[in-house]
Amino acid sequence: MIQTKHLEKTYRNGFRAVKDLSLHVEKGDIFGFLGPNGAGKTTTIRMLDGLLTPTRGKVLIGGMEVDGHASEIRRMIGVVPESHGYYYWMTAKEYLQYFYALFNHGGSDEKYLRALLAKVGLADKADVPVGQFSRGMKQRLGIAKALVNRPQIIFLDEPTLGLDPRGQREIQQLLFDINKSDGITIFITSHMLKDIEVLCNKVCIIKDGSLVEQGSIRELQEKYRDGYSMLLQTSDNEAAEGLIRKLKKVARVAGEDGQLLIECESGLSDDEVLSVKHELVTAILSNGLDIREMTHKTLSMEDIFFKVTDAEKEGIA
Amino acid sequence: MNQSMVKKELRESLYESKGLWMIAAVSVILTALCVLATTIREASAFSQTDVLQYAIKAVLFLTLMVCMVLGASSFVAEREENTLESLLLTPISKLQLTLSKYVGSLLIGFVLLLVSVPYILAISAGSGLTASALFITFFCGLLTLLAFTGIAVMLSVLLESTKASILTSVLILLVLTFPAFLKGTLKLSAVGRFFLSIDPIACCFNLMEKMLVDQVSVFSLMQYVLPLLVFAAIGIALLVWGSGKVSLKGEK
Repeated sequence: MIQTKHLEKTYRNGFRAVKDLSLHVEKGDIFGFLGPNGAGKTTTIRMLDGLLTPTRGKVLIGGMEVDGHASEIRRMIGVVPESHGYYYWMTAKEYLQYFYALFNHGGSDEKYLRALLAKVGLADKADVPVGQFSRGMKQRLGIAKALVNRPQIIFLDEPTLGLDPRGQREIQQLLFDINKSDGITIFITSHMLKDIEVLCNKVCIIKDGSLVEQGSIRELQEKYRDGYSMLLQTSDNEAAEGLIRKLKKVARVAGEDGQLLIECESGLSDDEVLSVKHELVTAILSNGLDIREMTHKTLSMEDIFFKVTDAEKEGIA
Repeated sequence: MNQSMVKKELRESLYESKGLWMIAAVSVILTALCVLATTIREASAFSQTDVLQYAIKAVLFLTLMVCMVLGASSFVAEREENTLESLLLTPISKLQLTLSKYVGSLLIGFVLLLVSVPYILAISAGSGLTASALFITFFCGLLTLLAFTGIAVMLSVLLESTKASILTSVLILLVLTFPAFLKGTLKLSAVGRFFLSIDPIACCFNLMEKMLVDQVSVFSLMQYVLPLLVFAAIGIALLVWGSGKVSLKGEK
């Protein structure tokens, strides 16, 4: 659905914002595009939607090259830019009508626009001026605007930036619904790594304009998992920490939010991990401590992000 | 040009950019001028023709100022409000986008010219110059509007802030108005004559004087009409050239 081949962008001042970026996003994917500030995420999105011309390389959307087909591409995509402005004097309905008209030679489809407002939870705010909207409502309206042309793909640049946890969750749910019910491919950049973890089936991490990692979250979890990790809560974590440190094949023990994070040595087989768990439980119980909670710890997107970007920084990756 | 966009521009100009207030302000200024002119005429300080010329000059200047301010803020305001990116992501071409904003500003100017009609009718009543006065107002008004608004919209595309765009536009209007007020030997010098022959505002003033005072037909005044047509063409050409430069903040 979205493909880039050796994409590069060098600005007139000589700054290379994107370097040799090759991406592949399948139809129906929710693709997370991650990177630290200034990594080239917005520049990439602007090349994908045709607002910027690449210095080198190609962008294909639905098999069509963006360069030379900008008008057709814009009918296929919806975009929610990072700094999304609104006409505050327009009502929500007028705002959508305006963009609908721009895509449809002045036409209007009341029923569809009302359905769109309902989809983003703004049905009762259709006649309220956008100036009176909260940040979260504006963001939902921005998503509705991105859907006015019935796109196959939507690009969202930091859609939950500045929203409170409830607003973030509403946007996540909305995007999830759009993807599942309408089959729309979603390309999302976010600093909120939790968003990415919850929403995306595939991610890509870039740093200083270059691709550092790409794959499904599960693949990345497998790849960056050093060893089996677990979280443990006991009746006396301090005492338990001392006991666990003495066990063989335990690489690290550290306190984490009232729990102990235990990392086994890397490269252990499933049987060896089971054996470590057994020794650990025995050691704790035999010393009169209670186990209150013991869970397997999977790598979060945040862990992966830091591992990937730190490895890159250290020149390991 | 896109109809929906022109409608939006008009609504925005009228409600958001205080266009209605500008029209009201122009009406008040013209009313005040009319009252003053009538008082002065009764005192026989100026002839009716002189008063009529002052009124038309005032209409042209006010209309140009309003349209230049609207035109100069058109793109730069969209950029500052972060609404330009969404417009650039529609299938509307940059030329259509620019022309829509241009027409939106021009329409406000046209409304202002229409607002001036009753005043010109009142001032020219009984002089036999009403038709000529209206012709000059609309002919010179529309041609200068086409040019100056085109330049203002182009500046709005090129400059990064509303303040810079409006100031530059107004400065251009003032600089081009200056030769029209050259007096005495300056007006007779070779340089003075050259500037007067190409300056659009001076051409408007000369055309007006010849038609209202000397009652010469416009067809005999091509030396003043031609520079106006050329200036309008330059304004539109600059606008079309500028449309290709429409871009987002910081992208340049």
